[in-house]
Amino acid sequence: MAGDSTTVAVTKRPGQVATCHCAVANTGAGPGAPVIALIGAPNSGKSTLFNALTGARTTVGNWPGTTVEVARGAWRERTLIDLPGAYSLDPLSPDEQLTRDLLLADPDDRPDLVVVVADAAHLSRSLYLVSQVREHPQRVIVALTMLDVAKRHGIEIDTEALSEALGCPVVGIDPRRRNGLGELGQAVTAALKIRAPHRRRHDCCADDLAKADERFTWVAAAVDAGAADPGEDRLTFSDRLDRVAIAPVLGPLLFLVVMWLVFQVTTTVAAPLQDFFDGLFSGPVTDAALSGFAAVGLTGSWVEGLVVNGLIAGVGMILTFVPLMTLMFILLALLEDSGYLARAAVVTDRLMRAIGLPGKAFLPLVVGFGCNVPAISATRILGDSRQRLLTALLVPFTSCTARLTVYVLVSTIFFGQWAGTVVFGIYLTSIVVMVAVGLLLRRTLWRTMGTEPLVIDLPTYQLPTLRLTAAVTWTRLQGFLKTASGIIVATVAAVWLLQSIPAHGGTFGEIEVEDSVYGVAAQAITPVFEPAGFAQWQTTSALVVGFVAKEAVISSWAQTYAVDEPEGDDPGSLGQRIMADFAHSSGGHPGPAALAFMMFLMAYTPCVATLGAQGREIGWRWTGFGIVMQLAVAWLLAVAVFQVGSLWW
Amino acid sequence: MVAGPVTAVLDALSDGAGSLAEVGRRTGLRADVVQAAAEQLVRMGRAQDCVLQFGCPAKGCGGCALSCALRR
Repeated sequence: MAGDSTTVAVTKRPGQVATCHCAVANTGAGPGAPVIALIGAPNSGKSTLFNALTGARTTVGNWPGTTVEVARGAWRERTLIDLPGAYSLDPLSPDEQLTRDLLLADPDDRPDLVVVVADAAHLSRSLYLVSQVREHPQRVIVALTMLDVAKRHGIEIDTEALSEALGCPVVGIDPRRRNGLGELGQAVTAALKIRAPHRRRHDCCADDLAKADERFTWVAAAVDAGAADPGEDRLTFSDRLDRVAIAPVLGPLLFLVVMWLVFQVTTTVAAPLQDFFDGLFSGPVTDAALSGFAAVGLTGSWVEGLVVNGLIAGVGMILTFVPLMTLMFILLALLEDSGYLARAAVVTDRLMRAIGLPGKAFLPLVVGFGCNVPAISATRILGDSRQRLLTALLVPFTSCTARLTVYVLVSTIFFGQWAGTVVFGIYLTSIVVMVAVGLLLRRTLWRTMGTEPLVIDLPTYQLPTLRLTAAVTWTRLQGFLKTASGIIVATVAAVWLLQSIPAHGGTFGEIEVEDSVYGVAAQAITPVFEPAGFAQWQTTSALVVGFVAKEAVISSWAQTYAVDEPEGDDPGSLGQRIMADFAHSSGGHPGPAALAFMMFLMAYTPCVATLGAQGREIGWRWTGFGIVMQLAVAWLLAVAVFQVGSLWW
Repeated sequence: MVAGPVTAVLDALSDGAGSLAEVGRRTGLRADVVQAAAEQLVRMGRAQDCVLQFGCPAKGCGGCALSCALRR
């Protein structure tokens, strides 16, 4: 059965026509031997069949396009050539172009017979190529592979009926187990003895779509004749899971449970590691820095203040979130790689369609949960300018991962073991707010807006791979670390500078933060938040700094409380001091005040980078409108949460 | 005149079918034919096939749904 084989690259000079008989005629079964061409889509089993027939050792992989060279070998007294993988004869790549050129060369240079290797589990896709080959006067045999996979999917194939419908022989084979190769050899021998059959008529139309329609109509008829429809009776594992995952009621419930688990696992598992890093930065790292400054005689200097109270306290506090962010990114990567994310997308997309938001706007809104900046740019996919504008105004309400760090810090301080559930609730609220604002804007400003379709194809569920999960997690963690080492360091330096400049006289760097430009400016806006329960300059100043980046809320708090230490031996941890200030400003209702603070944080302007993106995409007038709208929504939400919450709690 | 499979799938997508399963229900075509016709539409440049992700993909810029959609 097996013979010798050689793998050669067929190259063409401009104007030269590739043929099957000239370029590599010295290999294979020798001059004059009939040439059999193997064609088929990537992953159809074509290269495996070639190896089985010739005994060759060419590349057999599971990635599309592995057959990038033309392999040629001897199969008994015939020459067998393995053409590059192709889905159709409408070339989209040099490989496909070569396949087309070799098949449709001058009649004398064409192969004597074409074996189309067709994946039985994806019969319609495979037979499209058959429909095109049959449009030419070629001897054709269809070799059906993956019959076992098709059978598992409930697809039973009648090769005789299929053969009759296609107008050429059909042979079932399993090249991995060497099954059916004898029958294929007999069919080839028989076909070579007769003239090429009449070509399939395909002179119906000039338009590409009409041509594709004609071919698929022919394919569908052949599939109907030769393959039993598995219908709804034969459900795959993915189909059975999807009965729950994308069901109208159970689907959203499952999505909520999954997201709750993500936040719960993230906050509980990462907490000890976060405490460890917190202790590391506030203990040994700070002590080492202080000792270093003492050794060079800079104790009490502004440089020590910038490094210890600024960089180590501020940036160090953000770095304590590295374990938490890592865990969160791992869990999201697992959800993506497993195929569940696409189901979650269907569930939420359905909700948006139901309330009249444009379906395609879903894409930037999903991206927004990672980072608002690319999400604003993503609105370009919307063709309608009003849809782009509305979506760009809604994106800031999607809670990005930067805000997550603040939610976790505040929730851990105020709600302990319930932190995960509280963070989950904030995310849920952000979706509700986004939808509510979207509806409000649609019913006031853009009543006549149309919709744009978005199709979400559902991949088969699979076990996540370690390599992909690690790679995705690392990429996203790099983004977090880049922010911490760039924007946050710059912000910390700016905050330190403002905290060092006296507002009403005094010496630079030797004043209370309260009396600095930073503290006085914060005190001026603090009364605005009295109805929300967190009217304290330490927090309102952090919110102002949060305009730069949301992680800066944490570094700003850490800086302020590090510099502004009260008298006494034990100033307490950052959490204890935040808790005490919230209890004071809320009149004894720190819980509702903390919730109100997180609501405000969730809804007000995300960061300057988002504003820049908005200005670029929708203009500064609408960006200004967005800022006012977000601040108004954030304030109203915070006040409502505190006022209602403090009635009972 | 009855539309061919590819046109039927394209019409269903344009009319707001949210998944290929829904396209199958609307057109009455077999799932296999719907899948193949949708792939053909992508090859013909009449539809796009993008990966859905929350953040940046591991393979770097250009691999996310955003980049994919912007390439149209």
